[in-house]
Amino acid sequence: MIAYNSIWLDNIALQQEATEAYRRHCITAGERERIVQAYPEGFYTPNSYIRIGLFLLTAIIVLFSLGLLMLILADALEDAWRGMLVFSGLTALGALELFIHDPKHYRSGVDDALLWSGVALVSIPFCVDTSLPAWACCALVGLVALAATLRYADSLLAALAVVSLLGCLFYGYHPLGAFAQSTAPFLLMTGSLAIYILARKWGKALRWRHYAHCCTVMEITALLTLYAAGNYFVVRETGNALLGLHLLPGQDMPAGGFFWASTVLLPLLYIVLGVRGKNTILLRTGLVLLAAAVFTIEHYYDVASLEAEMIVGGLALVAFAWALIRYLEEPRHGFTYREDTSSGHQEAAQAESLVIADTFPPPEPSPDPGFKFGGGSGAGGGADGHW
Amino acid sequence: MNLHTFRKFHEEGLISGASFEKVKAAESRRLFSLHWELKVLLYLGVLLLSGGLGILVYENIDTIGHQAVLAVIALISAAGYWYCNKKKSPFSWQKVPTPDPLFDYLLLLACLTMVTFIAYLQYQYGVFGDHLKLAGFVPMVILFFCAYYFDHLGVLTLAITNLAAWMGIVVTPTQVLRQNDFSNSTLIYTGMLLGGMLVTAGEISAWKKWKAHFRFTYVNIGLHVLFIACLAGMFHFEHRYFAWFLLLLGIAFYCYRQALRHHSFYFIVIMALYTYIGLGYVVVRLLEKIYTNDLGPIYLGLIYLIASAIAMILGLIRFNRKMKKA
Repeated sequence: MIAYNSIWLDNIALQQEATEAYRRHCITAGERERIVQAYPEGFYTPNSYIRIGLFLLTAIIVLFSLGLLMLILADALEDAWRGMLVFSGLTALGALELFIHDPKHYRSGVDDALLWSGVALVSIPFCVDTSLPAWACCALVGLVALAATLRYADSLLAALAVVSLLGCLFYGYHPLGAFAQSTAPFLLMTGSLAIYILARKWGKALRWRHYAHCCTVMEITALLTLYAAGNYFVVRETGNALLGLHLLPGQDMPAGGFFWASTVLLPLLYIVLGVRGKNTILLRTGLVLLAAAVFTIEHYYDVASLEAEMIVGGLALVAFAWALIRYLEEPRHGFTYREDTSSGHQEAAQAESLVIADTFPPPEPSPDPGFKFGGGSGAGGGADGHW
Repeated sequence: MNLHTFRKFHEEGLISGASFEKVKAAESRRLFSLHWELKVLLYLGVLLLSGGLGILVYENIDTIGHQAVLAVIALISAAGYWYCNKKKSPFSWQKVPTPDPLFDYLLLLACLTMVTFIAYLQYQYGVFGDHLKLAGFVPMVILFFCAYYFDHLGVLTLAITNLAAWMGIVVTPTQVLRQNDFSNSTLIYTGMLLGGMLVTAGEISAWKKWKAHFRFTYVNIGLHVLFIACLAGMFHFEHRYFAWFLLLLGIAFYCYRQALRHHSFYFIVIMALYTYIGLGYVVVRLLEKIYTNDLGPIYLGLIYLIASAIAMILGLIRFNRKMKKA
């Protein structure tokens, strides 16, 4: 089923365990070397920067080849563009099989680029400008993504499969009538919860061990869709846009209380469960979604002026984090502030410095009397541009 | 670490009994680390706080309260610097460990409020008169001083972006391509100058051992600025593009040497990508000259771009092998 050599995949996992144990000073360098010798793997997996480079270059090749093909066949194409795209996608997937089979590429950038472009090229013709109903498009993309996930164990495609499956459920269900319209969010929440529970179960199963990272991503995706399906803003806006509810500003929507409760309480529930179960995925998703809850409240209620909220929120965050860091200086209840492993520390510091540069742009000196000076505008934004 | 796995390793004689006991002990003592979560929360707190203060000043610029706001900002900045100065380890040209987790973020807050404070002084009281360049220069110098004095990579990066802004260039990672007007030849020359300065600063840091760990930050930003300015030069100065291309090759060669010397896969990848773009441009220009009116050059151009990308891939793979062996 899986395209990669499964014994080698097992051996990679064993080697990683050995490396971790070595890093924690539990086993000696010689012992780690013996384990690597006993459980060898022959994949071609380059350094992660090289992987990004290979990915970009492969994507360029796929794009330009597609352009060349279109140019050559320009006159003949007219209606056959769908067929041509599917054909190109299948060719990319064929090339992927070759790269996995012979030069043993595994997470090399080349295989990632071929896989994603292949799946995109195969799916796009069925989704753009078609007479197919939306649920059928979602089902098709979902099936392609699912099949590709099973064969190549790619986590991004696993997330795509989850989202398309839920999309198929939503588009298939909501036109069924007034009852269906008002219960669609609950159906999606139930579906997400089911996917989350299954992904958790599969993530621990020996049989699905090569898909553990896919299960992790599926868990995160399902937690996010579970929240989105119950978020007041999302439900209200989709209601207005798709289901023709035409709510006026200030007008409450049906079951508004329930959705407000889930908007605010779900992130807290994730965090509490994450802390109690020492589950990083639940904890981090909960923290991110707490911000989403704040933005949702902000959208509908003017609690205080923006700068007052920012200052109070900032002070509260710094104080809370500081108190917790002080509290956890000595490990308590199995929690610690100390870093788990010391690997990659220097690179993390470099990445952090770029994030800082990106979130705090320097003030622009300008003679214009109305100039705004900085001290940080704009939010978020990763350092992805150049890393 | 999975105990079953290590039991198996032990039974197969791959690890000693003592090592297996160590694994068991480590696994039973294992703690749940909240390190990154708390760091991100602290960072967000500083982000919100300095952003909120910035807006507060801006909103209150013509009201009675503005002096109070000014005082509060000065106070926060001073308090931050006071805390950091009290806690800091003695100065050294080597890398200095951070005294406590709060230190980094309070220093950041102090520096950011300092920048706001000076900008506000200039706006309201015109302390630097008409010397607008000076209003950008002073905070930049303070930022560089803080970066070295307190040993903080984030503040160093802020100082560099301020230096670039002072020279008239935007170098924040996600804005560099969007906010600069590359059809302006002054900007291209300034970019070359700034890039050259930063790379030199990085090399000197490493050579003189003046905060040698700052080298990467300087050289990284400097090389990106140099490469982008060079490409902009190729596109802008139509008749002299080949000279700019030679310059690009020179920078690429330096980048390659850097990569070899410091075992950096990162530099080799950026070298490959920028060179690919430059070389592609030159080839397309040459093809334009040979053919004039049919689709020939487009076909050939596409084929060239595909073939050269394949060559780049093979090159990168070979280089990766070479570095692994070395």
